[in-house]
Amino acid sequence: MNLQLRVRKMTELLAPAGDLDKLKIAIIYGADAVFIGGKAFSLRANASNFTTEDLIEGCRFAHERGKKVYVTTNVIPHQKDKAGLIEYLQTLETAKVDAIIAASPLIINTALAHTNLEVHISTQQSALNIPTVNYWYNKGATRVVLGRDIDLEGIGHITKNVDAEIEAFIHGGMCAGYSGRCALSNHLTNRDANRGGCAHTCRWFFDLTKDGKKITDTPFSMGSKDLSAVKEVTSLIDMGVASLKIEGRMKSLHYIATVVNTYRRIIDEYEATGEIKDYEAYAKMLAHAENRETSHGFFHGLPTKDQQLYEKRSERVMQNFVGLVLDYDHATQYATVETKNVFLLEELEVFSPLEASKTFMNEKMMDSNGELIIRAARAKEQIKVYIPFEVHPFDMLRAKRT
Amino acid sequence: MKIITTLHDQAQLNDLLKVADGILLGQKRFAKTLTNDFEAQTIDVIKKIRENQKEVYILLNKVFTDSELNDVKSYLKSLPIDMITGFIGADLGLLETMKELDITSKFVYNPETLLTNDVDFNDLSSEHIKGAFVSKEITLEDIIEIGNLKKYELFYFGHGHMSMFYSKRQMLNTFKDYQNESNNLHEDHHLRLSEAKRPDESYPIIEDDAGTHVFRGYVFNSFKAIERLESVVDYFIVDTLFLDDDYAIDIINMYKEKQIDAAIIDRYQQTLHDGFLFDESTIKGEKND
Repeated sequence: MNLQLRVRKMTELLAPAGDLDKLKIAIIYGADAVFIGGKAFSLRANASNFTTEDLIEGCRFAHERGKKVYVTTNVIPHQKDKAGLIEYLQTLETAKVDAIIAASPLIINTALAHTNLEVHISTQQSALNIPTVNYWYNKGATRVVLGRDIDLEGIGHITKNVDAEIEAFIHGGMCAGYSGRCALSNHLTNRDANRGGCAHTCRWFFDLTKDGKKITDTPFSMGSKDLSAVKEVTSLIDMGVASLKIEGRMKSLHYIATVVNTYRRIIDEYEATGEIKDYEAYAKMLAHAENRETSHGFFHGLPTKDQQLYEKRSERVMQNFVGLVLDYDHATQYATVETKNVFLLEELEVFSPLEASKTFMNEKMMDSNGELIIRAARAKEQIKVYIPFEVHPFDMLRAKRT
Repeated sequence: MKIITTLHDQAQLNDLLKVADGILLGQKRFAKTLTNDFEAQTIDVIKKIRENQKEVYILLNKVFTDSELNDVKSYLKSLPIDMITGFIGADLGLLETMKELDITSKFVYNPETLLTNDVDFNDLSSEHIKGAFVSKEITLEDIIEIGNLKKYELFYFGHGHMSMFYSKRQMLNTFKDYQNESNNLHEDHHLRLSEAKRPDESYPIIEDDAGTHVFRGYVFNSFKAIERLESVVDYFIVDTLFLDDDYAIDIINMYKEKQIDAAIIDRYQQTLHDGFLFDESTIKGEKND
């Protein structure tokens, strides 16, 4: 391994956060930056979004830890959607947001003209070559998020030949077509994919016909497996990609913690040692999250059938995340836990951002009245769980669930 | 307002040029979903069009990698650029290619879905391009408003099977591979997708060298809007993919007369739709009142 390749700015791990709790979890579990959607001008309209107060608190929390907050303003606005844009961008600036992620020149130009916000160009622009990256850089953007329809060689070629920072997706859902250029949802459901209404129509099942006759009983779908770059992250780091992006503002607290922490550990091991000893261990870590089936997307060339989803809908609902540690009493060794899913007196795992996971047998727990219980039956209750070793706020309890 | 259209058969060119103001051509290395690639005959076709004092547009409507952009440059140099009115491209990276060849004034930007407001539509005005395509998925009112604020020529997809989806993935190939079958569906224009809850419309799907493309099964038309559109649209596109040159001649005459001939539409057994001209898309799917 040539250490000279590694004399460069540290690669940022960028995580999604659908709300303030997820922002905090993402940062605690190892993100260098988070991207969130505000109440306006953002795709993922159905995600939990941030109020102004949440935004201010989120930026404060991030900045106290030396981390950054980016706000997606990545809709493609219609004529009537312009109202309130300047005010909104100035609100973001006042909240001390570090950058916006935008695709529309209306929003980009307005931010550059009326604020000091840094501008990142969204993947919705499908930037996949040097001149396109340079076009946005020359306009005033500091970073360009590449489209996902490009191999590692292409990413490396662009990264090495532009002044703009390059951000690349490493995990999560992928558009089946070129991002920003798809109107399947618009035409089939009247939901505008470019203003936050995408119905994921590409994942539907269709019959394939020729001259009116079905030519196969196998249902056709355009949907692709999620991206996972566990084995490609080191290459992206070496080529100088500035930011590695995890997709998923709609994802759960546990998903964000698991995926972020896995990639954090990969990056840290590689930066410290120059190699990854055991990829399988990281694949097992990721499996704790409620993932769809994953693949390497376009990283190794045009996708084959192994990168596509056919017939099966592979989202796994895990329910293995059963509790969030709120605090720990060293004297009594009881942790205050906010329940997330049902669990019993059973073996539990403590998943922690900075330490290796540890298991223990859950032998004692009490409800909020101090009564011993054998079953934590409801979510969002605060109970006490006896844990024979130190745990910390934001540690997560997992149970074995198949 | 000029009407330009696609060409299937060189033998039909003379008849088509009697009604159309221009023709869209391309090469499949650099354009998607062509009605025809005339290959070695392309330059003859260009010359014929120019002899008839009509306009020539070259489609470059793929999304390109860096090495493909280099190939685009070589391709353009092989063409009689002085005879070509415009180059229609979907990729902003082409702007650089146009500048290098000093033909920026012939560039027409068409990202299909993205130019939905006047600021976005006019964003390349400082580059002195020829024009841009307004989004296919916005209302007539928005198109008129954008048109009244345009800083260059406004191109508009006026009639034909609308493209809904463009992927670099070769999805019919991977689908056949998944079934352990060889792919006999590449470039097949007779394929459609049917969805169980939408039995009235099936959606043409094509896989070509550019990737996979899905279209509306109904044919988009602008008959109800043509009088208002004429005030702002400079170039009205009649796209005859899945159709033919006789259809183009019939349709263009109807638009010129601003009169739909239901008998002709019936003869083609088509269902027409007017997209989002009068019915804006929403976020959650609710209908507008």
